[in-house]
Amino acid sequence: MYRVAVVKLTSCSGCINEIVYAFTFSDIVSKYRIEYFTELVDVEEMGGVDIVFIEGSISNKHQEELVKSVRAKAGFVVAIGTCAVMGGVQSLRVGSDVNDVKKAVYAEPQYIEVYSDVKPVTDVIKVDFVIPGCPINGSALTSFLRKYAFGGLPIAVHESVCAECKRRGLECVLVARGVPCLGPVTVSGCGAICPSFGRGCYGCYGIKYFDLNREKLEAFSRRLAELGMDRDDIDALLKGYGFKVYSAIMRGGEA
Amino acid sequence: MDNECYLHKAKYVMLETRLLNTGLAKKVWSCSTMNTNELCGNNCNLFVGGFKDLGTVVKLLQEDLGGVRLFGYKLHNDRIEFGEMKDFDEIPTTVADIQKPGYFRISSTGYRFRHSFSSPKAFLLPPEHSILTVSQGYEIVEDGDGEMGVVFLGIKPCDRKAMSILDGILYGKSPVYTKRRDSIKAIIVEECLEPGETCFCSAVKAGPTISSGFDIAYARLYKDTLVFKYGSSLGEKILVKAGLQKAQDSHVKAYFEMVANAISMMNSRISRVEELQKALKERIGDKSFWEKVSSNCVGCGNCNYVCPTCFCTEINDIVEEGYSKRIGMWLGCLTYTYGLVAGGHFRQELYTRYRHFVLHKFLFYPKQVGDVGCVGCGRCITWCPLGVDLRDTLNLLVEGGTR
Ligand code: SF4
Ligand code: SF4
Ligand code: SF4
Ligand code: SF4
Ligand code: SF4
Repeated sequence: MYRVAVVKLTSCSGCINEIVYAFTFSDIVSKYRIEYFTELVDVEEMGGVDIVFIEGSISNKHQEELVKSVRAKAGFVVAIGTCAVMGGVQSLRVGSDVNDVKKAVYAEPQYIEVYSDVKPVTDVIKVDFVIPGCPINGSALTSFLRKYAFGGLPIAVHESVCAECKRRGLECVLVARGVPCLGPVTVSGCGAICPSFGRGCYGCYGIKYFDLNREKLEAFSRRLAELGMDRDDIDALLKGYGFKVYSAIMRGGEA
Repeated sequence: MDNECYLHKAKYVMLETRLLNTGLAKKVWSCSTMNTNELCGNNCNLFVGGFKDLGTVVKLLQEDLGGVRLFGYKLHNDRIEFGEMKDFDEIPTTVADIQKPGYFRISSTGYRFRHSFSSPKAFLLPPEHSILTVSQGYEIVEDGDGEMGVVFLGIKPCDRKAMSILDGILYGKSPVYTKRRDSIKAIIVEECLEPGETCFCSAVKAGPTISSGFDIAYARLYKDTLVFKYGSSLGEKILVKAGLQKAQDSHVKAYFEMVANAISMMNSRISRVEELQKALKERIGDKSFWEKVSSNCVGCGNCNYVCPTCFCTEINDIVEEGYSKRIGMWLGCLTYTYGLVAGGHFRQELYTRYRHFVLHKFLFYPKQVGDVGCVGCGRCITWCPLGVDLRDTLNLLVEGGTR
């Protein structure tokens, strides 16, 4: 039996649903015991565990300390979801005045303690495995849990959504219909859900942490703009999920 | 028969004397300038008919072979892909494809269809294919497709050559490929009299006509005028049975004229292969050149996946509830994972992977299969979301290139 904990930071909890679902498979439940998971078990404080899944990004000092203490108590850390891995949708606020954002969302903004920046978990601690996605693909999680129980890990395939799109035999919506699609610059894992419904990928798994630089991202943005996508929308999509990678690229670094 | 080839204005030579099924001996002639990829219309043994006749031909072939499934380009809801056809009439006959770098549309204003993003590769080496299954008790079961008999209908000369290239790499080595390849009982090829805008098959001797490796070929002279020829005794038997008329001189003349036009147009699209190969060898180490030609490339891998000759796969083990399976999945060299090994990465920088794609097609396939690995179908150009154009790369390689 492996002991498991699930820790949630700033997020929509969509990935939490996938975790709950994964633990409905009998072969998985028989090998893992959930020790700490606020949504499922009534335990106040997380103890030592073999694996911890961390969902969400870091918004304040308190969460940052929490993540560090969690790392110290866990043998293996998995960052779950685009928020934990790259920043996630909350990164959209980066660049705006944090007080304006607070006021726009909360009735009593003075109680909200939040960084002006967004920190993915991967910025603060060393993680052993990442599963991006908004939300994650349930089968990536079950695959992880099953392989881990056998003493292995899933192979990480670093590729674009396009690869999954082509392996599914889908016709490219960008080339054949002129629909703007972020698939070429987005990390795979979703199984090309959006193109399978005839719409473009909107980049929810985050932009690729490999192969991109500013020049390439700009060439790609120009391509989307040619297809009629609004410049601000393009920037929002690129930044809004894969913030960590996007900001690194925009600072001039290679992804 | 005139003793001169219409296309080449050269003499016909006798190749062999064959016994027909009808019991009559027939002399097989060929243009003396013929090379293996540019046949002179099978000695002008051309027949003529319409799509109704093609339907008859397909039906007769299916009857003759018994219980075979049809695979080809099929039109369904405005979309064309390569796959199993329920019926012969799914074949696209009333639409044209418009192909440009990064652009594909189906149009109803023309009627010549070239090809879709998917090719016969999707059948021969499915994008995700099961290799074996391991039971809970660690028993290994090899997966297979069971017995099948398949007819390829309307594949293009470039597609057919791509199959020969894949044969050289995978036949007898990949069980999945070998089994599927063996299941193909007959091949009907549609030749191209008007190539697409991104096609350059003639420059790599892969089209637009076909001289061997098929049973029946047809070319669309006009909307409903097809010129037929056979490439095997099976094909000959079927064409005779279908009662097709011999093509008239006017058909033959028009056919060869269109072929000649197609060839001269496509040949001008890339530099000569020998020059390209020479230039490639000289410029392998020219980092700035490769960075420049791949500057818009984002490594999405579409070019690999749509390419009818790209065969690279990743092996992945998938653990399910109660069993595990091993699958092969397409994974092309433009992808970051390609070249990533335990402890390092052989081709971390994207330009080195783009370069590898070009080098493999033009320098390494010749070592592997004795011929260039590019059949000039242009799919990598059309289906690149950024419109990266292989022809530009090839022409820039050779200074003073034709473009
Ligand atoms: S539809 Fe999108 S994900 Fe699919 S191949 Fe085209 S660009 Fe890539
Ligand atoms: S399809 Fe185009 S952008 Fe994608 S990997 Fe190939 S050349 Fe690069
Ligand atoms: S490299 Fe491009 S043009 Fe050549 S066979 Fe492949 S897809 Fe076709
Ligand atoms: S070009 Fe790349 S993907 Fe295609 S066969 Fe060669 S190495 Fe494989
Ligand atoms: S590459 Fe040649 S054979 Fe293939 S579709 Fe184009 S013209 Fe036809």
